[in-house]
Amino acid sequence: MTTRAERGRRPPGSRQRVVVFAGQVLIIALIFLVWQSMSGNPQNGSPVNEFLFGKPSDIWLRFVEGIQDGSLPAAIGVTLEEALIGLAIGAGAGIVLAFALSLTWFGRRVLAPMVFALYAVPRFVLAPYFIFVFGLGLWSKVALVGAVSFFYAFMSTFQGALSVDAELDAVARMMQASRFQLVRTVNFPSAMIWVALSLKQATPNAFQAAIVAELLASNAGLGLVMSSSENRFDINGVLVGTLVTTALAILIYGLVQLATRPLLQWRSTPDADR
Amino acid sequence: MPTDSRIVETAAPPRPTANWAVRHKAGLAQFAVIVVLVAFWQVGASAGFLDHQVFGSPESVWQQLSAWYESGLLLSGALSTLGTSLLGFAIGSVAAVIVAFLLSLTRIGRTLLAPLVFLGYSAPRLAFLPMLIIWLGIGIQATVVLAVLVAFMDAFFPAYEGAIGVDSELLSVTAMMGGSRFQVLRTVRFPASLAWVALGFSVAIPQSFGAVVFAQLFAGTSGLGYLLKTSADDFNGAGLIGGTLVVAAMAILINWIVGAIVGRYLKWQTNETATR
Repeated sequence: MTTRAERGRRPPGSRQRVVVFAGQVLIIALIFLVWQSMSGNPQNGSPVNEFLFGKPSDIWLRFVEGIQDGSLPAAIGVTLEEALIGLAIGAGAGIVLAFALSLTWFGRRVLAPMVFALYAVPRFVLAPYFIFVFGLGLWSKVALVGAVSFFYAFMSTFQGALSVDAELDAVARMMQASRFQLVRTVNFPSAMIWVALSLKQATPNAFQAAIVAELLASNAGLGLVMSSSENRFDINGVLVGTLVTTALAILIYGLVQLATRPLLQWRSTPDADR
Repeated sequence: MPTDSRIVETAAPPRPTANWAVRHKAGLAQFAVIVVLVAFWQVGASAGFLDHQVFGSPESVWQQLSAWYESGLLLSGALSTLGTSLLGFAIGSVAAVIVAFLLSLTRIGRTLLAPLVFLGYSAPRLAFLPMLIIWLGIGIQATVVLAVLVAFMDAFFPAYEGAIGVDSELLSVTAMMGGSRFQVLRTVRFPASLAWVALGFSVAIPQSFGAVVFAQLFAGTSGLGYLLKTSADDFNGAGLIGGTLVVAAMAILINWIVGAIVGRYLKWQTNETATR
């Protein structure tokens, strides 16, 4: 997403980059420092109410405690498991269905627009139904993650399956390729870039979907850490959950960027930045 | 049924002589698909091969929806969800455009602060809800603030890209004519980025709608999400399916209206920039 922005300005030198990075770290450190020094019991005259906004040192203690008793790593594991299983099922189904629908008129003009229309529906609205059907455990979360990943994979792959280089298509047809051969040798390889793009979008959203489903009703996971702390009005517990979730999301986002970069490099179309 | 504007097949325009049924072949087929699905659902429910507990039946869903409609719950819920999402969208997107333009003006903003906002973009925003509820309590405030956050993030990106990705020739011409920073902003950057801003808004509106539904599901006291939540608490399958369908229909309608409005104003833009 930022590639276009980066192209717009001068390529920063490595020294400048270090200065910028240091500045950003400094800003974040400053925020935490001010927060830490001003937070306290309001009855002692502290300007920031620690029962409402927490305190960085208490958040850290809670975090260490969670790591030591193993509850936090376990919660992270559950959430990642849900996200990964759901992503595999949902994205797999999306990719297969996109190719299948791209083959016939009925698929392209009748069924695919219906899937696009459903894309507008906020997927989280399905969460209560999935919990109702699949119960509190793993599978209701997998179902929601699957629904979320399905749409990202479908949209992008379908677009890719249709936007095949007309010349390649003509050559393959001229050589009497069957419909299946056409898909295998032309459509599929040229759609791979779109598949990679869709996974890039789907993965962070799959993680968020797992968290959202856990927030609504669950018996394990990071979402439960947050919602149960919220029920106890334990702000430090909520903030540990929120910060760990955010850090993990940023980590996943970065990893996906790194993983898809080689896949996306060979084709330098303007769409590749999307 | 709205076709996604990003994926338009290059079909030959229909000949004016073709009759109505031929021109609307795809639409009619879609209608037929929906009729077949609903019929299958009803037959499956009454014949018993679709578990009534899980799938409900068109009949039971219809009864639930008309009961909600007659009690006024459906209309008031829909209005509450819609109003809350529009409020959150309005605050969040306007703030996003202002912040995006301010950051685009200075080098500190571009290199130091904008990347921090980008960092926030990859955070799962809906996960901030428990925190917001502790700060603001259960009810409309936390819901609105969540929608503001979501709309802000979705509108910020395109607005910022639009603000910095301005034709450099126009910029140098205005600089040559001695335009001040704010004159450049007013006469070049802002008009040039309007298409981007509109694109961001078209993403932010459905997203803030989704955020409001989620917040009402989690800890709402009104709205469609709350209706769904009470159905879930009562193990009311027909209510869950009916409520989900109503939310889905509203979302599709919102998306269609926004798409029509934005598409109208983006027509002058070349496809390449407008569809990103």
